[in-house]
Amino acid sequence: MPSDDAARAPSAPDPDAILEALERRLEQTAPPEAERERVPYLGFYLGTEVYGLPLQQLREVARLVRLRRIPGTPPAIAGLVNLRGKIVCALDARAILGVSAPAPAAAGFLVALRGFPDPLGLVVDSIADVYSIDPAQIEPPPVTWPAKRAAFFVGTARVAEGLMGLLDLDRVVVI
Amino acid sequence: MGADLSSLMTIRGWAAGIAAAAVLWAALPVAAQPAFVIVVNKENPITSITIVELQRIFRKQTRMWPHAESIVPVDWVATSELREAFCRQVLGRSVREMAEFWVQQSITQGLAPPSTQRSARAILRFVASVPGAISYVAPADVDDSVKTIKLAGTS
Amino acid sequence: MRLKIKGQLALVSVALSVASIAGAGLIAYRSARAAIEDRIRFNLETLALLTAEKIDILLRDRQQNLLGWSQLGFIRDDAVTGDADGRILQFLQETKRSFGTYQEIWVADAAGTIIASTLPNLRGREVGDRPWLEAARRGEGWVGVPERQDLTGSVGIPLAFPLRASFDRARIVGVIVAVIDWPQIVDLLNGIKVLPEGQNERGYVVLADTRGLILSAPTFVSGWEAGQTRIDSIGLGAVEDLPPEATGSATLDSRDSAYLVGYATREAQPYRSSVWRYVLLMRTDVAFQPLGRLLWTIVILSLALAAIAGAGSVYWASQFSRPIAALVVFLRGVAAGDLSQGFSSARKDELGMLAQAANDMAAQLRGLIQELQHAGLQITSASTQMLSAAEEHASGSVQQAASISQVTATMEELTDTAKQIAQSATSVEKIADDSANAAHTGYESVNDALEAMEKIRRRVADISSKTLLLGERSQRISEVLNLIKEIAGEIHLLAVNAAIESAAAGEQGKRFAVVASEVRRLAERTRESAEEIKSIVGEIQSATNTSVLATEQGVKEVENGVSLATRARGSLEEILQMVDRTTQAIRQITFATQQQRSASEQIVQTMREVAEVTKQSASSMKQSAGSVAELNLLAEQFRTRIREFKL
Repeated sequence: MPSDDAARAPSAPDPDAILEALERRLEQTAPPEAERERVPYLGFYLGTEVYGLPLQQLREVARLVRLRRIPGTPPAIAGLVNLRGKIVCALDARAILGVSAPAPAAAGFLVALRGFPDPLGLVVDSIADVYSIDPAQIEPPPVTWPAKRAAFFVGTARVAEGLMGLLDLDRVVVI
Repeated sequence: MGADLSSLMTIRGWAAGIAAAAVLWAALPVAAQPAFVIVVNKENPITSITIVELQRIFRKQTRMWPHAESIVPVDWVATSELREAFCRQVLGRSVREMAEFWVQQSITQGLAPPSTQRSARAILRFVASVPGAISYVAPADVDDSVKTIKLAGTS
Repeated sequence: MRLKIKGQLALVSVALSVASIAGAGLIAYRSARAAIEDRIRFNLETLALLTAEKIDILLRDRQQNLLGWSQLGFIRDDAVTGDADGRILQFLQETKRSFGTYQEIWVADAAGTIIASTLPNLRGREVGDRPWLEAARRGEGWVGVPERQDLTGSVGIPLAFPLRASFDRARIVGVIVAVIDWPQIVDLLNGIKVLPEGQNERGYVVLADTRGLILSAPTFVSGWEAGQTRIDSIGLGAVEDLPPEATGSATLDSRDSAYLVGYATREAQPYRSSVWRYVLLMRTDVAFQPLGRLLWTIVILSLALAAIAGAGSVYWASQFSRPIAALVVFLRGVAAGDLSQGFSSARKDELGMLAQAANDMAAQLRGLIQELQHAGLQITSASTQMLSAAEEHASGSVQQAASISQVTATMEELTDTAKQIAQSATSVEKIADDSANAAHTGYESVNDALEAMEKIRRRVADISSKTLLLGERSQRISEVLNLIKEIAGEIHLLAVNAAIESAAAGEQGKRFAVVASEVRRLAERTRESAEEIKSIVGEIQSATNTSVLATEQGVKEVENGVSLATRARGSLEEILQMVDRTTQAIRQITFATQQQRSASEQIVQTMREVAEVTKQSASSMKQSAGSVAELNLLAEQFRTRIREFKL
């Protein structure tokens, strides 16, 4: 509420100042990079492999609390999830991408997607981290991958967790 | 001439005569002998003194001679005629009034009246031996152990 | 005989009375003398003080007067004129007349010429160098000593004060000098009553100064001059030896006799230029005259008392000696054998008691002699009987001796047996003691082992409980860590969401993205640390588990050991008890055998004694027979003797 903010603002320290201080610190620790924009990607696990999606294409990430299976739906659709009052259709990323490793027993995560008319989400095993990828560093998918699989990927990037496959959302979500 | 003289005698003569007599009569006291003379010590350089100065000296209001000697006034004893005469003529008061003055002075200022002596010989001896002394004696008693000075305003 | 007691008593009483009176008298005399001396010395001292005070006041007053005159205005003025009008002279003459103590008074000018004087021929005289003139020129007063003044021709004290000009205090115009008439002062001093009749050779006053010169002496002392004559020339050199305190009293010897002296010393003052000493002397024989009377009184009193005491004692002695003589006669009769008389005395004192006792003694003797007579008869008959009895005894005792020796032999055999038993018992006891000691040592060591094991068990129990506690704690730590990890996960998630939002926000979101990445990093780090801690805790847990197991094992083993040791202790205790019982039994045996031995020894001893006694009685029987015969004889003599007493 604007009025609340206005009431609170005088007593709180200036957030802009804090942000600036943080930025300065970051610039000190990390040498200024080239002007090329780094794109933030979200990394997530399916099995032992790390996959990535640009943050801009995502709406949010949440724990998967209750997934309602809908009988008679194709395996690509994992079910429906009630995400803060919104019904989201959860897609099973494993089925789509053909990941062989079995799903873990513990609850996974839901990655809510942006840019689709209906609310969509991807069911993943767990979240890795947010990475700033330099577009120049994005390599094409390795040749060892079968073509069918490689079609889902925009490319790959090397991150701390391993080789992250950057997914092409348009190819993944085909509905 | 004779006729002029008699006319003179009558008006101018009377006038002149009266004037001369008056002058003569007025001069008599001046020509008569003064009651006292002022004597000082031989070392004192002054030659005359005014009545005002004498008053101040004998009231002990002036304490020092111009030549930086302290003034020592000496009176006759209160019962003598010379004292009486000096008091009246110089100080303008009677001896009794002066005594009252000195009582007041001794209380308010702590001053004592001048020393007194009884005879001319004593006065002269005193003045002769004290350098700043000043006193008065009858003219006949003056001798050459002391110096006489004139009282200004008299011949 | 009669005379002796009386004489002794009289002598003793006379001597005692004389001695006591004389002793008391001597003490009284001495104390009276000391008191008189103190009193007279005190009086002399007080008188000397008062005299000194009086003279000082006189001199001081005169000086004050002179000071006052030196301040008078007309004197100061006329000193300048040389007293031209004679005012000063008039004043001096009147003053001398009215005061009377001044000899002469004069005033001199600053040059030293006398301008006015009560002594006419001094006027105009130039005095030359005089101490008072020089003092005056310095502006100081001056006082001289009593001596002959050359200006006046008689003895006096000169006082002087300077005359300052009335018009100039710093200028000295002259000096006024007054001479105090000294002979008047001397008369004053001579008038003091040292004795009731005034002053004479036996009591008088002398004034001297510390130079040793006489300033005043009484009229009977001839040939002295004030301020000239030395004090030892009149035989009072001892005055100079008096101590220098202000006042006091003393005794001193002059050339002819001893004196009691009271003196007062006065220090120099402005009105008195030297130290004066007033000495009041009183001859000691005059002082102590009253004592002579006292002495005579004492002598006469003692003689009279001695005579009275002597007469009294003689009378009193005779009161005693007569009854004593009568008693002597009576006692002689008793000694001779006449017990038929009695002695009476009416006195109630010690002599009466003595008479009574003598009477009683005679009566007792009478009774005793009567009894003795009876006894004499009885002895004779008894002794006859004894003789026959003794003969019978002699025969019986021989048999007794034989049976005794048999008993003795048996007893000796018994004693030997008992000795052997005692010896063997002693050795057995020794063995029992040794085993007891061994069992005790074993017991103690078992106890020590038990204690040690107990300690170990307790410690182990302590360790295991602590380890369990440690396990619990680390369990809890793991739980907490899990919680932290969960929270870190949530934060991470939130940060990711924040990053997504910021990406959507575009440019504005960039800064937000920064914050989000920081938060993410923080969450990651937290998670990592939590993992680390968890692994450490896991290690601790496994370690504690192993140690718990190990200690449990240890505890079990200790408990085993404890039970073993307890069993051993039980057995040792049994052993100990048995040993004790054995020892006790052995001791009893030893004791019993000892008792038996000593008992048999005693019997043997007794038997021996009996044998001895029997032997002796046999021989004594023989003797007694002889004695009885003698006894008979004696009894006869006794009876004869008793008959001699008259009853």
